[in-house]
Amino acid sequence: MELTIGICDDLQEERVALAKMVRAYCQSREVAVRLRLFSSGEELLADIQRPGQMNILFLDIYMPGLSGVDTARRLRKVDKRCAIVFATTSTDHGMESFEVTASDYLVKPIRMDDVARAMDWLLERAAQEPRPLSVYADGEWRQIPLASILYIEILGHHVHIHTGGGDVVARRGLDDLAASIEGEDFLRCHRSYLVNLNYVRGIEGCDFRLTDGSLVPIRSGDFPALRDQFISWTYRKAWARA
Amino acid sequence: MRGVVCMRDAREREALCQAIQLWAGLICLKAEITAQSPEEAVPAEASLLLWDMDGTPALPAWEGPAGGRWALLLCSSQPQAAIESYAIHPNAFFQKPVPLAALCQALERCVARWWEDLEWVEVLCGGARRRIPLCDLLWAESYQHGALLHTTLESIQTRESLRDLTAHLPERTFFRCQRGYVVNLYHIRGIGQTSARLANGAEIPIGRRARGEVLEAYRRSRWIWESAAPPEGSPT
Repeated sequence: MELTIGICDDLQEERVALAKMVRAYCQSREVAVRLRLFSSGEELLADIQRPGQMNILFLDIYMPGLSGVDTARRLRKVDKRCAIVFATTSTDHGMESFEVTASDYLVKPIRMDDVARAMDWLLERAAQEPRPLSVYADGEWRQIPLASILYIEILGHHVHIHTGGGDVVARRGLDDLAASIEGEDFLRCHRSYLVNLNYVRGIEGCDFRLTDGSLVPIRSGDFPALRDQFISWTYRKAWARA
Repeated sequence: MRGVVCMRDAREREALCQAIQLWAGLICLKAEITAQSPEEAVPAEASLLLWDMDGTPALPAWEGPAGGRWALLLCSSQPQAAIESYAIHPNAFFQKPVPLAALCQALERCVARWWEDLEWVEVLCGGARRRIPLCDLLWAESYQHGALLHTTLESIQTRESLRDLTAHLPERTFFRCQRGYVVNLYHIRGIGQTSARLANGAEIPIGRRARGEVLEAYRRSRWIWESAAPPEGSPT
């Protein structure tokens, strides 16, 4: 797993010093990292156009132009999941940091211990996210992020894993695969199908219509219960996104 | 959901305990909220903890139930304590006196964690029974010898009458504002001469004779959004 970590500070020496500490931490934990440095909130926001471009952002608060807090507010409109760690001389913005759902607040001068503590928690939280699906396909082990899987179907002795980037075919049972998928986003809607509810646009007749246009059948004998599970998941997801 | 309010000041903790209990009642979440002093151990089964950092020697040693289905809210009279609180990564931090509107918004963000404790209603729809979480039922109206339920995500037609449906809805939250309409008080944001405006912008008609009662019922619930103390006799 490679992390993309951003550092946004108007002072070059601060950016460089923090980058050095973050890189040292990642090396000590054997975490692959791609560092991106920004000198202003405006430069950062011009670069972040969609969610998922950055995993962690260390963000100064007092900068010419857009402040760190205002930068964070605008960033949140694009990406609600990027972890924001404020790194600042000021102790006056603790309350505001909660308004933008920051993950930590480091007060300068920042020491290696501070970076390590913040990163330890972030990595621990990332480890609690559902693990990718591990399958042996085309002569190698593949780690497939669950978020990329639209649905899985069994054809004969093989499972076809339909992802946004193409299909992966593996020789494995669907029961075994379903048991290894963590989280509540996947529904065994049919003897031969496992669907990622995040990609379901709605129910048409006795099928799930997915966002890519595919139809995934729903087991007729359990249709009411499966439909209710999908609907409950939809309502719950809406609250979780609030 | 078991919630615990831990504060040194007895009056403050009882008031917040009552506020959270009222909120849970209005949003149709089954909850038991208790108040205790910081010296007492936090029950292991608690899935909500509101902890006062003032005057307590350390942050709470509490991990919450397994599976992440818990929420930790901290408060202090010192805004700088917000920075210290990151040591245990709470879900929210409030500067005292705890603003009730902010408290309710923080609790709303945690509703998905307590999903199993929500109250539901079942209706007959197209020959099958459908379950809807009451917190998502905005209003219902009489429609073609049955009723039409409007939720946050969809509209559902049922052959059950509005009267039969209303019998299954808790009175603390749902009010028959007009002969053909039942409205969820939690989602009302304003009341005009002839209609109630909901958070999603919908305007629900209010009967002339019911307006006084609707206003009274709404007044008993609106304190959440206006950060006032809950009035006496508020629905539980």
